[in-house]
Amino acid sequence: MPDPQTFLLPSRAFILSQRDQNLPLRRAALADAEAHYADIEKGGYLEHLALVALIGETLQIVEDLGALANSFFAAPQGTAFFAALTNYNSRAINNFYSSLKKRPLEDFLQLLGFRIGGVRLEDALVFEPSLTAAVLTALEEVHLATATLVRTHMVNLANDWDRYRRFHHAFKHGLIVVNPEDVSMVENRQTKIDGVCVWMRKRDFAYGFGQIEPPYEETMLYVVGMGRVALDVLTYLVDFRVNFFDLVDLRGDGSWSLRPMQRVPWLWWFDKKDVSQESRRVITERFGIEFS
Amino acid sequence: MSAVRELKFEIVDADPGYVEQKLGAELYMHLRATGTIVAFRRRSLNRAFDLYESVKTEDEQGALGLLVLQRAMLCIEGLGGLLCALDGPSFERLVSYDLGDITAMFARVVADPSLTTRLFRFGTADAIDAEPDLSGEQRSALKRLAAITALHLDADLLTVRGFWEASHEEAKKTMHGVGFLAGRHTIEEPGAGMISRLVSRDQPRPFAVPLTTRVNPLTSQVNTEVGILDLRREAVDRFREAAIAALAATEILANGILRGVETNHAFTLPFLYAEHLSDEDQRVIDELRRQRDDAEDEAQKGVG
Repeated sequence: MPDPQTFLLPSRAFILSQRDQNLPLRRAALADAEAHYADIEKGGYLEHLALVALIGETLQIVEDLGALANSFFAAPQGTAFFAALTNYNSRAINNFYSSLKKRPLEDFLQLLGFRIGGVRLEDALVFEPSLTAAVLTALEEVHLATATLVRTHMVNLANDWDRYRRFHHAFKHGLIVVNPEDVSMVENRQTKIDGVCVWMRKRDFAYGFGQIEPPYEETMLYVVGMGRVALDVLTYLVDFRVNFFDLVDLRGDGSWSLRPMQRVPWLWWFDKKDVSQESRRVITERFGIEFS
Repeated sequence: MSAVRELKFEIVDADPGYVEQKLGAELYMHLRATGTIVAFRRRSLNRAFDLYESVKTEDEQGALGLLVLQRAMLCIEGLGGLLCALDGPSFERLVSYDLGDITAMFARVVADPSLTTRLFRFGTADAIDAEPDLSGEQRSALKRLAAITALHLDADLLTVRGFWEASHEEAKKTMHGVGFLAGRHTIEEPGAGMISRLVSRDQPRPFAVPLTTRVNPLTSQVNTEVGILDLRREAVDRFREAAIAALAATEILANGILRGVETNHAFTLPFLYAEHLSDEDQRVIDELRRQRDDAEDEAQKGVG
């Protein structure tokens, strides 16, 4: 068992803080940016600013997700994940998302906590009565289905990160959005094109970056959807960890004992088509869980 | 298709050669956008503060206090970036500054009042003396307006710098993975282990605990520093006040420089603080303002 004072208790407090403070912060920020966009008069520079701000608030959530997930992968041996998360590195999130697509499904099983150091959680816990081969097979299927769904969401978010991160940088660093009332985007030096454009950061010359074309309502809806998916994945990662900590009665002096297991230690989240009816039946029969 | 865009603009409200000489066209275009950016930031800030005031639980106050902090930081970084860009001037600096540049800039403007005057391109006493066609009475009133403007601006910049020194690192955490513990999880049982030892049980709530981890590259030793961030109403209101000061300074900065460039004046002086002058000085300034507006109207008619 890791040291409670340096590892378990701070990690528990960090995960609970994500649930109680940081996720509500992001939910409120996304809802407010969406409402602010709805409130402003459409058709001018203000609409561009509101859209870039909405993208910025949304990509904050994608960044949070990347930071948390990366910390589970990147924390050195013997170091709590939150130490990796709070050791800021400006390249970490870009590197994390750019390499995400290449990660095997096994990595997502680790990320979610179905595997810890290559050991399946079900092999590390004592179940009474012990798990049958049929139950173990069904568990493997739902774990893989959950990892598949989370992987799909995160790879999609990685693509969104790549597509929108320059807007996010413009939002965070001066709201450097090009004003279409003064500056036009053109193609072939002649043809004016409509769209939201930002000044690119860290360039030695004035470059515009723009790929958002009207109608902006479509982009707004897409971005809000992206934010909600990122919140769902982040909430899922956090709730799963909270579930783990519920297995242990940790006390302030560092002593601990296992709690009687009131419910299964896993949280599953999958597309029904990825899990056979038979496996769902086996799990329902063994653990009394109904799938919605 | 690459999303790097070809941009086209035409300078119509100023002499393009003068703009290029004084600012560069891209920075000029950004300054013209700044008024709308400031209005948008101000509304975002106030929306966050209203949300903070509308919630009751400690967790909600913690969350929304951090949102106010983040939005305040965005306002203040906006000013810092613009000051860095105008200290040159250089558009490249507008898009390439880092936080260290802003730290240095805020330290300089507070330490050197002449820098504020230079960056904001305010009319100094010497410049006012050198201005032709002014009466002695007008020169005196303008000098007093310059002094009062500098006083207010310095107060704003001092407030901004206070925020920056005390809170910018914490504020940046709201944009980099939210590396905070909610204060209550450090003082309520079972606590946060060794982190709780660094937090007083009497710490007024709500508060957050920012964590900053550094790794010694030679020894690979990992050290996590623990701070305290007050998120009670008074503290959150201070974030907002610093942001409001930054927005006010940004407006004065952008409007003044734009006006100077668009009217071919090396110096300008905003009328914003004229209401703090004596009645007699206000009368003189109002008259000067009328003369200026009339002259501009005439010039406009001439152009038409």
